[in-house]
Amino acid sequence: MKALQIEHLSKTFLKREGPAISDISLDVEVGEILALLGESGSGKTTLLRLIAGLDYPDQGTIAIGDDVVVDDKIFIKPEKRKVGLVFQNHALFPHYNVFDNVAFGLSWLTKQDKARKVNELLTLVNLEEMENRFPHQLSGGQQQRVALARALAPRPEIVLLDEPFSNLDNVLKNQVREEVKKILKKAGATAIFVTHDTTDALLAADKIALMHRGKVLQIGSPIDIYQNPANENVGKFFGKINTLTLNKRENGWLSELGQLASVPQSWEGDQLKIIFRAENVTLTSGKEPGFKGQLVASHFMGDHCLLTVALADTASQSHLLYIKASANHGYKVDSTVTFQIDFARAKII
Amino acid sequence: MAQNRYLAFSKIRFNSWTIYLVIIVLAIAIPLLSIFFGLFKGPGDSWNHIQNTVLFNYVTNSLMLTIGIGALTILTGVSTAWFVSTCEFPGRKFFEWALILPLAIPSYIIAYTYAGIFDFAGPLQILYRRWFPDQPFTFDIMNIYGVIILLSFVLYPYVYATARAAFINQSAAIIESGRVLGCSPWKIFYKLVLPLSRPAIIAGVSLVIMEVLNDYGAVKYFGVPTFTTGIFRAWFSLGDVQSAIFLSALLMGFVLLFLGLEQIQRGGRKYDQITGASNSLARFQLQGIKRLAVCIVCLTPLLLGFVVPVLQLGFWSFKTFRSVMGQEFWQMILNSFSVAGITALLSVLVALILAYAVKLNGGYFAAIMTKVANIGYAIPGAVIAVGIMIPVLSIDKFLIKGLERLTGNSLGLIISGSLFMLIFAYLVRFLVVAFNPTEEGFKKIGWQLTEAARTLGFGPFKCLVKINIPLMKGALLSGALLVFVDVLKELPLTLILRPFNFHTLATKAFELASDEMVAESANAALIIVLTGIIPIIVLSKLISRNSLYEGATD
Repeated sequence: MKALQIEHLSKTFLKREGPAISDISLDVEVGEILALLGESGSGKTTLLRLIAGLDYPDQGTIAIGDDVVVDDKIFIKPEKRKVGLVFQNHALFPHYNVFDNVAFGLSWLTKQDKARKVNELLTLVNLEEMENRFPHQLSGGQQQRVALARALAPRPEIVLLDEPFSNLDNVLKNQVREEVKKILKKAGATAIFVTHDTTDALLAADKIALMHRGKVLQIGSPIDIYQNPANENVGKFFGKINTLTLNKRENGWLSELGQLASVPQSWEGDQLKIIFRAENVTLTSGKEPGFKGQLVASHFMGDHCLLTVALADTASQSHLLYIKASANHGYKVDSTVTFQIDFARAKII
Repeated sequence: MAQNRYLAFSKIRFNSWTIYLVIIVLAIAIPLLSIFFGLFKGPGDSWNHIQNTVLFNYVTNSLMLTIGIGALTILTGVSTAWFVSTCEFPGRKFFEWALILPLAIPSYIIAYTYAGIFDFAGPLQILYRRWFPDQPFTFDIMNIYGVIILLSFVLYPYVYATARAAFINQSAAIIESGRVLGCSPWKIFYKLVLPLSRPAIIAGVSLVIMEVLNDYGAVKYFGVPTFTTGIFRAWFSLGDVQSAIFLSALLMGFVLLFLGLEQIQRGGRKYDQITGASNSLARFQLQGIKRLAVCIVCLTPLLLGFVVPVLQLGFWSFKTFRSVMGQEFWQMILNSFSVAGITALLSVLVALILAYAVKLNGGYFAAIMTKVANIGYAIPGAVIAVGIMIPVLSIDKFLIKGLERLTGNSLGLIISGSLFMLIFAYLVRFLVVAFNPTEEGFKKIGWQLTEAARTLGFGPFKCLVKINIPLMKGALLSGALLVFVDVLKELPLTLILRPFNFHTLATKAFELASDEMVAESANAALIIVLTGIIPIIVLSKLISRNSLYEGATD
């Protein structure tokens, strides 16, 4: 069952160049957590605001649950959409305490029902004893959980979270990410969150929609989108990506690396462009067969080293490859390295 | 694409708040519109006479007043603001807020207070006769130069306040980098700070000029004919409505000219202020003669613009309050305070609706509407009065005829000369005074809380009541306070539009002073001045709260 369906949604701001959102279509299943991933200015927050009804699209339709909330003729106001929204800075009402903040969207309930419901939610977000505190008396993580409880309270069809983890330092971030995911899953909520951090998206989402310049480049599960990027741009988003151009010769494929031997049989065509990740390249000792290159730089990343290698072939010296190597690989800059590529993991684009 | 934009425009931009917005703006625009359309009826009978005799005087006097007072207030306001903001000398903290105090004294009150001080029976001449019994006292202040000097003493705080805010908001980093690069204080002032603060200073001066062109009491008392006195003369003495309209239109032309010049000098330029990081600035430590000079520069305007007139008013009140206090006096205070109170509440309410509607609608349309709604403060009171009186009189005529036909009885005027009309006129003139703090308040809260409340199922009106109003009580209160005091001080508009026999503190003070009863008038004047001090103290607290220099002194 679909919790959200968006079709051909477009939005251009008068003062800005180019569309903020251009012809986006996507679905979210009930109970699913979708990450809108993209750099700033890619339109992800605009998309969130369009879903919430805080902005007006130029074109397209949005349906939440069974109800169409936006199309050519209909515009349902934000207060009538069944949408919960957690703002980046939480936007807790400073003049209300935790209880009243969470109870804010429950005005139709009787006093007892309200108290029961709020207590339920505060238990869900682990803030049982905090109901009389005011927002300024809470830590950042606690504020966020209150905001989440407030958004979940009216049982929205979908919860939207704007950059939920961006205000947190790295240590806290891991913990909060886990917590938020757990709370959303426990509540059985459908959620969309916006982030510019690939780690957030990979760890917290069931599905990732990668956005760039107002368009969705690819939608898929974290594994899928990481391993099978639709193009170089998507691939680049999740770390260094290598590219090679292959030309068909009578006796095989010719590339920047020279003649290629261990290429999958299934590859066809006159010219191919392939991409593969740094971890699909492995260093070999000089005795085994392999490609040769000159080490340009070695970046120590803690648990591994990222090597930048210039190809030995003089014609393609400016072509660089990235290799994920062990932390103590022992090679010095400017020395020659040999390596192998796992072409089975490479992808034709 | 064009079609999309049209679609977006038609689908959303209109809701009930848009309607409130348009209604408010139309109502506020009534006076200007009625003057504009009044022009098409042609000049009145006495226009030729006015044109041939006094019009030239009106123009030259108004010009001399604006230029003279403009120059003097810049000189006083900018120099005191600079000393107070960047130098260390005895009494600096006191001067910081005290220098705004003269703002509490309306121009007509300073005018007749000094007229009384320089009068034959006044303290100056008595002293003079005692010391120089043989020489006659020939110094006369009852002329245009007197007006220029006296009004400058009470109007310079506009420039002082804007200049000081600009100096404070300028990052200390600018001043400090000037010092590190070896500039003298004087060079830092005119090479760095002055060019950067020019827009703020000019904004302050244009407020001064609006006040000068609005003034009726001071110029009338000193016998200097200007546009405002001309409008009163045409309306009351000559009974020539059309000439009053023409003079009003000319005066509005003057106002728009100055507003236009202000816009041009700004030239769409925005000076980015470097904010943040730097927290405190080491002040220039003054020694010896310089220290004394700076103290004198700061003390003089405060003494002449506030202390001396207040002491004189206090002395007069002390002498006369027994004869003045009575049923009539209390009634007058009640009148003043209730009109001011009602206007203050209404202004805040209208400002709230206006600012919220703009927020909800967004876009250019709403922005333009706000500009129109807030033009009132630039329109001189006399012009607003004429612009409201004309349509109201014709509505009244229509109503009276209708009622006569219905009932057979002849009734008096209905709307004209009613408190309703007076309060509406105040609202037109002072709406912006309530609007600015209200808008500030909205800015401070931010829009996200409203959006959060809306996704939780609350409509725009409920959000306003539940979220915005509780969080901006302070802003609304200060807006109301400012309007209250402004209404209490207001003279020309009240003189024209007040109901028959309805006196406010301002009109009574002016009437008594004009009838050679300056000492008796001081009681009402003193109440106006003392009430006027309250928001000044509140305001100056607000300015210095975001002072860069606090760290250096505390």
